Amino acid sequence: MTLSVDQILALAPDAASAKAGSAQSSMAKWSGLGGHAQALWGLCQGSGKEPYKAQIDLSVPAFKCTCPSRKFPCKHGLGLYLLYAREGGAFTDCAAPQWVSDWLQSREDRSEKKAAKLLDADASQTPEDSAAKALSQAKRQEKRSGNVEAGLAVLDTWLGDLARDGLANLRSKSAKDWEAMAARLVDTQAGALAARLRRTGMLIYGSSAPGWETAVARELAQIALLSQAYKRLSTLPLPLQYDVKAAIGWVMTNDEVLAERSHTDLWEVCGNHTQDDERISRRTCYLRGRASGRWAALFQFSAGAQALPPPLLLGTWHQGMLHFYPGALPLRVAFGADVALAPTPAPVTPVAANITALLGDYAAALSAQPFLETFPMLLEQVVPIVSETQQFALKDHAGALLPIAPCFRHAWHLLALAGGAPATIFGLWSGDCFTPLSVLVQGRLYSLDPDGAR
Amino acid sequence: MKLEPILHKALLAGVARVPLTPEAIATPALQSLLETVPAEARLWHTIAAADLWQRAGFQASLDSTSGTIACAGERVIGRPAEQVLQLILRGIHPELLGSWLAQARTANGVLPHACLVPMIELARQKSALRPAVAPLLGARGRWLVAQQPAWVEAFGEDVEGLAPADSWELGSLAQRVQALRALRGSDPQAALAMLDADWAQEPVENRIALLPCLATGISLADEAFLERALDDKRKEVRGAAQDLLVALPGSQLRARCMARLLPLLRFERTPAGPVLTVELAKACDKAMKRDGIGSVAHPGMGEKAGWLFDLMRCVSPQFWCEHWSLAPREVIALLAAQEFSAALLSGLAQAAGRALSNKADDAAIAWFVTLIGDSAPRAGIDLVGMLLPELESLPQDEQERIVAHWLGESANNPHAFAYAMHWAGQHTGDAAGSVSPHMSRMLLSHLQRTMASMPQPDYYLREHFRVLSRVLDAVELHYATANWPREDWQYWPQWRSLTDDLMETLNFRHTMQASFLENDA
Repeated sequence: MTLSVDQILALAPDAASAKAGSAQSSMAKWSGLGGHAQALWGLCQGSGKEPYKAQIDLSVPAFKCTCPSRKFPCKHGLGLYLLYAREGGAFTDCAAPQWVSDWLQSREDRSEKKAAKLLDADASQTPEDSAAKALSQAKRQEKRSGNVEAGLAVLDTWLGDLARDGLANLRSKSAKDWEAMAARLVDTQAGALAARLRRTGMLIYGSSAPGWETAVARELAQIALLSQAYKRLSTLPLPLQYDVKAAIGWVMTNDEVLAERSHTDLWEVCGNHTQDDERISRRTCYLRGRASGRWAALFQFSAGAQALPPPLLLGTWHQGMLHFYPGALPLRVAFGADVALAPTPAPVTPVAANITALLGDYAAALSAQPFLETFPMLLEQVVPIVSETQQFALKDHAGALLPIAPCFRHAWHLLALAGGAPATIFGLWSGDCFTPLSVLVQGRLYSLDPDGAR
Repeated sequence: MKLEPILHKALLAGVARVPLTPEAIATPALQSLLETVPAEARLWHTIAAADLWQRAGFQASLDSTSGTIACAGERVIGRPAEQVLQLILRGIHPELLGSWLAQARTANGVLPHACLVPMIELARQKSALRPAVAPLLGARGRWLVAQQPAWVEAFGEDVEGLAPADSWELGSLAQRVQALRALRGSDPQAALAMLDADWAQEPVENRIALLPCLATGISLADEAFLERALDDKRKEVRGAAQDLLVALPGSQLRARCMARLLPLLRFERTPAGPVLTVELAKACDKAMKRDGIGSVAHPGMGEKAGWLFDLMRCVSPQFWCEHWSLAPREVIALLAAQEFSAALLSGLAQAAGRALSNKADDAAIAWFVTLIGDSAPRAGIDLVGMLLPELESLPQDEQERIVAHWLGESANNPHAFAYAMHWAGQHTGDAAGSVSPHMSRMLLSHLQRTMASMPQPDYYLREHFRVLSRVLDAVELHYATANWPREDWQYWPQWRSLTDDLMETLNFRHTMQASFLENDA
């Protein structure tokens, strides 16, 4: 399957790589170009004596190059793919050379090993092994629970102090208190809560927007509610227990998730949401099942200055099995081993969105999962509008308005694309404002990822 | 989220100062819920409950305004060209943005909707881009700009319908300049009357900015006003009026200058050929100063030679041909033989340049070509350097003929190639045409020959590579791949990146030009 130039450039880890990759997409730089249905390859003369061997597995797509670049994909991989998109005829359809077939084989072997490991994990364990493992796990969990409880007790006291003193003077005080509290939560293994507390601190110390105290209060209230929920964890429904634990910092391993229930469908990538805090970059790729209409979210992370892995490309389709993390409203997924790019199916006729009905769905979702931060919404046939006071909203056919988040940076871009006409918009509803992530206008899909490259 | 006043107060001042009791909460459902919550956690739990309450019960408001109007369909630039623009906006060859815009204008299309906001923003920040972006906005772009006050302010002058109708009375200085220039284009006399009516009350900065607008549609009907401006208190205003009057054929200022100049030049025909005797003016009186004579010093010339220069630049070169019955080449030779040749030839060159930019008739072209055609300095004066900025006023084929002549002289004159490159550099903002294929081959082959004789590039040659990458013909690139040094050339390591960059830019331009001819996939 071939991607467009825009889609290929969207795979670049940063703008500099996109520029360098584009410069490499010239026939003069390449020799030994070849390809078949599964892969592309070519030799690119760099500054070294030997040319770099670049290769692409088209099914994912995955890249490999012998250059020393630490960026992924490197400029040679991007250049090769761009060259294929522009001058596909230059790639001879032939058998792959040894270095390509070895790589493809190793990828296949790894994938098989992974699947086999999952099967073996269950099959090879004796009842005694399983019991011992469960016991050790229970001990670890118990220890961690104790740690978390201790951390949450300190957090409650800290929140109590904050409530007693009020937020008015916070900006004149040092941010060290917040940092210390977050560090304490990290020490007591409540990492997700610590990250949320840091983000909340940024609303105070990293922004001068008016009304910050309401946003801070909302976050602190949610944190307090989570702390309270954790104390009563055993009384909550089991799926909600997973949500509370995940919000505090319990992480399931990939293997554990792959053992969870799965759902097979043809999944369309509807939007990507990239968020950057000072330590961790996170991208959430939202998918929707064609047959089930079910939402799924794939999380990608990178630490420090490391670039995020290549995103799932907007508008691409993936066939296969997604494993859902347990929860009251399962949304986060891990990809099964069989997930692969699929051809684009025939479009379906859009059904005009009813904003009032969608808000009803959201209310139902919130009653099942009160810690829900955002809710994916696909709004078909809505018109982006701007008021005289420069507030943006989406209007459905009945005239109902959904306000767009004031911090959404591409509102004018959205308005330019739609031009006052109905469009299909995907985004996230937070309960009081909507953040668009993509828009479909006249059959063309545009990314509106607020922090990602467009 | 909206907080009840008591909650908001407690949040800011703290519950120690504003105690929060269940009775204080206005919402009855929340009151019963919060009775069981310990006092130290009550604030956060109340806010959490209120937040959930509001989020779950969010009501979509109804649009009571008339809404926006969908704009009509229009011919938008196709996807291939849009992809090239997206690359430019991503920072890949940003220097070619002007070229993309010029080609889009030639293709008679409007900006792709996906590029409207970044282009409008870019043009808002860089005013020099606005005239190129404004005509490409199309109906969608104008509709968009009209809704954002900051964009209206930036584009008001360039986008029809956005500038206020009464911008002459109420607009900013830039808008007033635009309004005056526009009116000069359609009705010069009405524009003059409009300016004249407010002239006495205009502050100095306005007078300096507004007066040059009269260059559009200038005629002898403006002379009386300009003559009055020669008496303005400010030197800049007087200078602008002098420039306009000097450029105005038949103006009294030109006649006055000629009357002062002619007694200084005594022409005789002798058996040995024409002889010219030049005297310098004894003094510069008040009237001369009013006409701009001696108003600025000229580097390399004495004070009186400077007056001679100022007088010469006011007289059309063709006048000397007619007055002395000599061909342009003979007039130049005669002036070059004088002691004050620098003042005479420089003044003549300025007058020739102005005559060409005023009206490129046969006489003006002949004079200009004669002065600029020979790249060697005359009487030590770099006439070509003086006239280069006006070269683009010549017809394209005439320009190329002159540049080809310079390239032919480059073996004997080290400046000739630099002149040719300077001329080429004037085309960097042009549309697809740039330099003709024939001239492209000549310039590139000259560059390749120069390169082959140097072990490593110097500053100037690097600049030449950069300029040529932007102006060489990119429609067909076969010629650009030939005649480079052999692969085993020992100096390739010093030159490789320069040639790679040149070829890469040419390829990009080739793709860009082809993209405007491709249809959407």
